[in-house]
Amino acid sequence: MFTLKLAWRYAFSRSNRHRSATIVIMLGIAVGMLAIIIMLSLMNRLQSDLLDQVKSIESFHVQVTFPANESDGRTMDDIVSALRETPGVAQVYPQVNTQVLIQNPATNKSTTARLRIIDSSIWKTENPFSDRTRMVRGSYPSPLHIATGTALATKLSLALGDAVNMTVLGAGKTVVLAPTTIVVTAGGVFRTGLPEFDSSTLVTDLDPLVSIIGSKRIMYGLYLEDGYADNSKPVLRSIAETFPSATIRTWQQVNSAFYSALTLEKVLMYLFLFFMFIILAVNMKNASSRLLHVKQRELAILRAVGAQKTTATKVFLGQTTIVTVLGESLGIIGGVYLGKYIGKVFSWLNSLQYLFTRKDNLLLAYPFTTEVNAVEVASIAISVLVLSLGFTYLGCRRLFRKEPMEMLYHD
Amino acid sequence: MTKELLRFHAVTKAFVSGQSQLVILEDLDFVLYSGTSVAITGKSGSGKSTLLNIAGGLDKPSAGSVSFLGRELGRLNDKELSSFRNRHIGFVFQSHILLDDFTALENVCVPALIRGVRQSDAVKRAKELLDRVGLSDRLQHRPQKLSGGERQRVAICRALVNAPDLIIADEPTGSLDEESSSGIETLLTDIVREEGKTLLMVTHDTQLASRCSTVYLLHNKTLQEME
Amino acid sequence: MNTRFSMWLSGHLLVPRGESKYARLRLVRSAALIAIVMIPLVLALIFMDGMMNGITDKYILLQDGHIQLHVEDPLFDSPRDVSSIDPRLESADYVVSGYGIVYSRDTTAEVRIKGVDSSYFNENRMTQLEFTGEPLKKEGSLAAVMLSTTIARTLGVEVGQRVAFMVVPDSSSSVVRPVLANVTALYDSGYHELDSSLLFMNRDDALRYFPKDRNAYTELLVSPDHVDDLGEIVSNLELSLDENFPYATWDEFNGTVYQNFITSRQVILLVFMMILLVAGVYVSSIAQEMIQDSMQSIALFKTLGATNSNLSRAYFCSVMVVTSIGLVVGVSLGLLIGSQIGVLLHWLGNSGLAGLQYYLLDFRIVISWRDILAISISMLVISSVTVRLSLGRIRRISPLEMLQQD
Repeated sequence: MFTLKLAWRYAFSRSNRHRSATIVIMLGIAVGMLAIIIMLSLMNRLQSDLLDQVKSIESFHVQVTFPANESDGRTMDDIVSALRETPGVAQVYPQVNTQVLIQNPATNKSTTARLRIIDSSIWKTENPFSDRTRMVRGSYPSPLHIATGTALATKLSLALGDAVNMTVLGAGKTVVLAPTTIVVTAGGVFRTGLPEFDSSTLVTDLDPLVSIIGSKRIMYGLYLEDGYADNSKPVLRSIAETFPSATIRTWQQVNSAFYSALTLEKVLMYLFLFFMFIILAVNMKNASSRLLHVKQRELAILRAVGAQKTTATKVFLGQTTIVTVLGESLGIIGGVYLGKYIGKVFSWLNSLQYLFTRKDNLLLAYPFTTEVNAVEVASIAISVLVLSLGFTYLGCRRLFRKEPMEMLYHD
Repeated sequence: MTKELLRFHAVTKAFVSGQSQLVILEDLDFVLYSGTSVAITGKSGSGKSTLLNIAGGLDKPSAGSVSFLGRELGRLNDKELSSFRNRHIGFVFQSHILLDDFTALENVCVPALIRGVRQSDAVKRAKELLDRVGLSDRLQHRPQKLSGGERQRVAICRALVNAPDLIIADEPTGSLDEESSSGIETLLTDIVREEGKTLLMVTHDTQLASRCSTVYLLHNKTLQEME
Repeated sequence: MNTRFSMWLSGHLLVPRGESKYARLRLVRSAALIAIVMIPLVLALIFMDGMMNGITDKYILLQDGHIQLHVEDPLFDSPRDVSSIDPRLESADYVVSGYGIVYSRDTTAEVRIKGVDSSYFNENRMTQLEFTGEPLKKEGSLAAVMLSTTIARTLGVEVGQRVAFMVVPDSSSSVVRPVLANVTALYDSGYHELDSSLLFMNRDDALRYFPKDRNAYTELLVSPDHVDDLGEIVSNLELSLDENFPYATWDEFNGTVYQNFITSRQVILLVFMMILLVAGVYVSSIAQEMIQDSMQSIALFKTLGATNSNLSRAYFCSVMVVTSIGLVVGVSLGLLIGSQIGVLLHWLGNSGLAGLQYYLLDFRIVISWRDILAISISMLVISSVTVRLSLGRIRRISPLEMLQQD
């Protein structure tokens, strides 16, 4: 208790103008924490939104495929039932994803696109895909009726009811892939909010196209129950036991490159922002060693009246801890509070810069929200504390080792 | 021809400490003429140093006025007061207070450089003064390498480098041994006389005081001329 | 103002002599820390600018050109003819472009097909690619194509083998016929995002499959120093050729990529500013320490007639000189290390980290002196402001107090 009291006193000691140095360092730590929390929470939200969209719309939580040459007698429905019974699996959607050429004779426009042939029940049941997707016009896909993404519909100048020619590569008689042209009707237009998906994807029902393309290309997209989506190991094990020959991939594996890129960006941002704390730690080291120099006599007297050799060390590390913890607390409170209103802050900044540039800044005009990860914040706080303590010890270690009488003659 | 250099008119100096007030100088009148040497004696804590600080523009009186060559010091702003001290006053302190990181020569040059004199001219003048006080072989020595007497001689040279009108010395021999004190006493009084300067000095040293043309006793917050 | 004294004192503060070992070490450490702060900032700038320029170059030189003039017939006999109309133009290539699906035995890939002549791969473009094989060399009646190594890997094909492709047809025919093509060469641009969807085809072959009224255009390349003059260059061309062309510029084709770059730059510069702000606070603490350590000297200088502004100027100059030295050393070291950044990136590229495919790791080092100047000036300005705030302490040092008179 005495050590803590002394540490507090020393942290805000007026000797050698240490108090003003302490306050500056504390504010620096607060600003650093605030900056790191805001940046990382913005990144967390952007990345988690993106990944949510990707795994809900693009890749599902888990994908199960079977070898093309396997024929164990099981039908698609058998496989779907078996997968649905697996603990942790919420929904199963067999589908085929393939590239197609699509022509709209009504407008003379054509392009390549991706066709997703999937059970239409995905639109009507509650699942991550239907939660995010909205039919903007028309109706859900049905046999030989397609729904297109909004951007793709615009590209083809597609109107509801238009008959379009769709050329797919399906199973041939003598070759694996052979083109087949089918006439389908534009039945609806959807929006998912994922620009890549909306600009390149058509969706239609399983029948009759899956038989044209070939059932060997079916991929089973699984949505898992809450809690299993990011920790799917038990589910994967169960599926592997049921279907030993199946290839099972999680959404992380399907999007490994993308996921890895996001992680890399985050790590780089950590490193850059952490740099600020290194500068502050050097500041703290200098301030602490200067204060220790000034307090030599006091510490010598404490030793003379019975304080242990490690008291000085504890007091100085204690004052560093106090300053760092106070600074971090201010920074965390500020960061979390500012994070809640970040959209308004950016909007205000955008208005300010508009006065000078007469143009909206796309970065500042974006409706940002934040997602604070408590574990992340705690680990940053601990790292900063360890860094500060390390630098303080570094700055004071020589003087800590001296004996009282030596300290008294240090001047 | 002597002229009025410094005038204290009804000067009072009080220090406030919490609720109480400690009056050091009260209604003090004093005139110093050019070319004279004045010693002020008195008991410890009587306010001698306070009087010197007010005379040198380092401190302001609580009441009354101080004028130097007809100019009231109280009306000067900080910049004007700094210029006044630099050009008209030379200080010699009890504990010399030299700059430890500078050589003897550099220490003496400082007031001249502050005044704006070219470095070469300042060095020339400083060398002349140091030569006069017998320190020509100590020009590049730092204060740590000089004896007490030598340091005080450097301080005297520093006080004279800008040829000020008034030398203010506060116990110039206070921290020296007898032999060094004797040397400094002679040096100070001789050099002031030779340069035609005015000396205002505080000292306990009766021998040093006796070398001055007038001696005052600071007693009961006022000055009394001694015979 | 007495600048001589300020400069003299500043010199003494910068080169402390005698036994001021601590003071000397402090100055060296301060400059060193500032240098250490600047090095990664400069490296990051070099990487960011180099990569963005590299990616932009890839898109311009291989995919879109600087300007596309949508005219169905060739405008120039040879790519170099255009320089005589406007010296800022380096080449003009007649190109046919469309979309299709290329497939091998059991795999497909969606591609952008670009029909070009062999002269398309000029000196500039060759800097962006590495080939194996003979690009677009016609053999027999089959179309000659050049795939990227990425697409070839996806399809499982090599040079000399055949692939089939379906192209988005002329609307007059609703039947899509697959076409066989010879893989005459493989290319690698080093940028996965581009490679994964770009396929080159012999132009004459491409003209058979893509109607020129909708798919042909002239792709212009402008010299790097005149990239901002695109509108003016087109006006010049129109005047010379006495025709108005529908045209588009590269940032319009790749608006998303372009905007992403701008946004990324803004975010990075924002982070830099935060780091510089903290570094500026550190610089002010150097000033505070120096003042703290020379309080008695400052009091004495004031007694001898030095003004607050003399002393402030001396300390300000000393601290800013130390900061500037650290800045120059840091920027220089950053540039030196940055010039060798290719070695590190090569090692990273071989590390097999999947996420790196979204980045370009083989690019020409570009030093944006404007950006480096901007961060250097920001550092100096921030430091000046923070140091000025610290120098207020000088004003509060009283000669009396420090001289400890009775």
